[in-house]
Amino acid sequence: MAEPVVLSAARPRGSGTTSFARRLRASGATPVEVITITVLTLLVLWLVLYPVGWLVWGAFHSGPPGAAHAWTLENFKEVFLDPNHWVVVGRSILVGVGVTALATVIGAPLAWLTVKTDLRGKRWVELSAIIPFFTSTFIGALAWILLGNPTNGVLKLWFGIPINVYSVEGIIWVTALYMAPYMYLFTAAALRNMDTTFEEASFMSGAGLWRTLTRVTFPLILPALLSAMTLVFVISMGIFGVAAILGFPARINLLATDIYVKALLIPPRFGAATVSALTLVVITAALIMLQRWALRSGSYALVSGRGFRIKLYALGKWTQVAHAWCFLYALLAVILPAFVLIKVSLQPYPTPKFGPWTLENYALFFNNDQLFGTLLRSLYLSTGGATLCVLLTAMIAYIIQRSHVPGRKLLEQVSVMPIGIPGIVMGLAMIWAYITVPIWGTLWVVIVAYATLFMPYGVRALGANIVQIHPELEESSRVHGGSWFRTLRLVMLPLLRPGIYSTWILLFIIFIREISAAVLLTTTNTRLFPVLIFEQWSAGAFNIMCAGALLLTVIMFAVIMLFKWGFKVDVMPSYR
Amino acid sequence: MSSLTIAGLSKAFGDVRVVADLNLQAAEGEMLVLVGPSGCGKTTTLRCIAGLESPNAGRIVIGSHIVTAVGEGINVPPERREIGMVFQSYAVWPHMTVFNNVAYPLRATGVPRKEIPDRVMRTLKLVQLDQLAERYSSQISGGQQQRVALARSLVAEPKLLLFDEPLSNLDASLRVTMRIEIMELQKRLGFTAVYVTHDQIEAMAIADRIAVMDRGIIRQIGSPRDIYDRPANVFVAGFMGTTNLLEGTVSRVSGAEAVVRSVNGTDVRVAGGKGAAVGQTVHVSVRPEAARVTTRAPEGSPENVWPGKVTLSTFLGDGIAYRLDVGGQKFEVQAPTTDVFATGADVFVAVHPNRCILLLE
Repeated sequence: MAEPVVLSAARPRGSGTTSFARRLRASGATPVEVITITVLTLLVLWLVLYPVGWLVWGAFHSGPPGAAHAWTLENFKEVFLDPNHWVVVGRSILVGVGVTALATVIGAPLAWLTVKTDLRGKRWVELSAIIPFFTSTFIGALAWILLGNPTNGVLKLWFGIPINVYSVEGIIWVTALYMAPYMYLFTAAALRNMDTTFEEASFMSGAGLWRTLTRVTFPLILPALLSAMTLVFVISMGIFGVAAILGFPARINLLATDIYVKALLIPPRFGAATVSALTLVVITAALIMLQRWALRSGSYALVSGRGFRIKLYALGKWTQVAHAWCFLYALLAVILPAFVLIKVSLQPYPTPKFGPWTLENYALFFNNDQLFGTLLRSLYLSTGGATLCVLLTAMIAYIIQRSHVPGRKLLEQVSVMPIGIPGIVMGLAMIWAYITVPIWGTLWVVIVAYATLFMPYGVRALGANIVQIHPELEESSRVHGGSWFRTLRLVMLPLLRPGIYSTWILLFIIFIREISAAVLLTTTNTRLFPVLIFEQWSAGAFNIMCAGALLLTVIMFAVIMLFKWGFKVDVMPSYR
Repeated sequence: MSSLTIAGLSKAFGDVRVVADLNLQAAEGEMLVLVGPSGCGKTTTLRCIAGLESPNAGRIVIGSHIVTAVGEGINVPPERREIGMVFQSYAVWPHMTVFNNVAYPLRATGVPRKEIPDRVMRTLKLVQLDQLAERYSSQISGGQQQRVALARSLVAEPKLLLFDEPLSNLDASLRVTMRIEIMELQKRLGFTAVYVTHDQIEAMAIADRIAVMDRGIIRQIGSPRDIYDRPANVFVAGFMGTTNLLEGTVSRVSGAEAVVRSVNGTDVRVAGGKGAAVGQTVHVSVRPEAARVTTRAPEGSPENVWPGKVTLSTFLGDGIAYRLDVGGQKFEVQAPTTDVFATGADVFVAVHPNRCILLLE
């Protein structure tokens, strides 16, 4: 055998070869790959840990962000010795649990009905579950103060239903109504992916529908259900919009609003606000860890890889009940709220009567430079922010799914951490972290905060898309002469394009409607549209508020439709 | 000169050793087939050759080009190994036309733009796809996608072609057609190929040489004939085709013959018997087609003759498969369709010692 002579890519051996270096070499990564991954990991670590680190630092120091500080435990004493703090904590947990339970009760049956039964009009059910998902709890709460306030709410005046949304129950009710779509979407996805033969095997073994549902279907989708419930709990614990709009009038504080009040008091109690924020993060983080622990054995492989048809149960005499259930949800979450928002936005002053009508409230947003400027700013922020966030999360998701470089696990763990950070906490942390930095007071701070907060959504959505792309499609490029970068550019990116578009829409919508992080973070120069709507509410200008909320909704749907018709991209899975 | 040399190749995933100190060579223009049950390390070996996995130890040399030498820190990325590969999933890019799929290796390696259309069309003609150059993968059949993958791996005229179970997604008849086409192309173009499959019939049909792998090591390497007729061990005898394995102890070794006393008490005379020691526990492999069934014991025959009983007969079209009970042990015989025996009939099995293979391990 001839002795081989050509040496290529010979790398000098380091003298102190560590196990990490060996693992790195064994992973076969190119230098470009290693540098990209290192830079990205450092960036993500910095994005997430830098503000959180400052938050912890701030809790142990006296004085507001940016000023002189001394080490102290006073903040903890002040908050923890205040009995009211524990009342607020208890109430927040109650709201979290209540919302999660109610949203599951509403959303999971809707999912089962649309995926597993012969229900007619599924498109409408789906639509009525997706509209609240996009419009969010904030706009939902705005509509519900008009529907359910105890003195002149529409439900009381017209139907004589005496309800009071300015209460803990009201907060739970409205939040659950608009969080139910999360439960719906997660449950529907799990049910749709589940191989029907699991259930058929149960029927063939002589079990009835009820036994099959409780002994086979439910246990199989339980991991997915638990993940969704954790998400709903964490989001509703940190929710600001609903808590403020429905809680402030009745002097009911939750942790999120408590942080806001403390930070904006005159003089502000930043230290106390920071400790409250830490309390909130500890609770959400603990819950996420609990869920990870509960699901430590991993989820079941529900997908068999074979194509299968979903067997549809005949509802029979239950059809009416199912339709009533779906219609009731659509009525409460979409139809009534949309109706009051439209009605009030077209009237010059609050009145239960029909008329007089005006377009003044809408015209205001276009004629007033300040209001129009805010609208434009929100559009810039959401367009630019979503673009940056998609770029960032696409790289992260790609590395997590495809790279073999050691250390990618760290990147994965850190990039999903913001799930446990409520928006208002991030807002406060950003103040600590950036108040002395020149970008403070610019939109860049807001973009950085949003990109960090919603990174997990992008990473998850794009990750799910990348998993769908067979690794051999990339490998075959590498083997046939394509470099890593060429493979990325000519194979991965074109195949990922639909996923990139749909993730972009998702992030755009999340960014444009976000209020929790914005209330503390935005200043006069960086005021965003949802904050403006919130201010109209504070000022009692309900008619202008409604017009604003509808404008926001119209923008969101315009973007969805633009992508649907222009690029043939659907944001949501749909039934064929 | 070898076209491919693998020396001391090892690969572990975490604590699981998938390939263990593997040595292998392929001569220029040879079709080397790696065959073995799933999880035997054949695909991992192929992916190490491609540069898609980085081994923990070992050297891989393609032609005179060292592509992997773990000790020296050499690990050439896949795109600079100048190879072609056909994947199990075909991996035909759905966002490119057939033409662009096949042109990809040429463009990626910087072949002058002017030459590309000509070379692509020439290669497409080779696999009879020149009419479908502008189609997308969703518009062509599975077999045609397989041809696109083949054309793409051939177009840059690589030194070495790798096949990763390329036919496992095709239906049975197409599988045979494609197998013959791959063989013809290989003989015509003279490339060296490493071909991975779990199908032993496909392996025997296509290979110049077969390496039978099990749990990360090569159990035997040789021509299809060698492997089938002279398996080196129980694993190879059992994996390549069906066989009757008789366990026993060597009772006598004399010159050109050994006698094995099988566990059910019958004596088996085996031709050869080199290296066997009296008292050693061994297996004897008898292929179903090496034995014949008779109603009367042949007299004065050099064959081993054992009485038995027919327990099951299966008509196969080109023969009848009999399952017999020989001294309490199951024994399979493949007989011509003219040899008809009723189930339950008392018969004799005759096997020439030449067709009995002594397996020491």
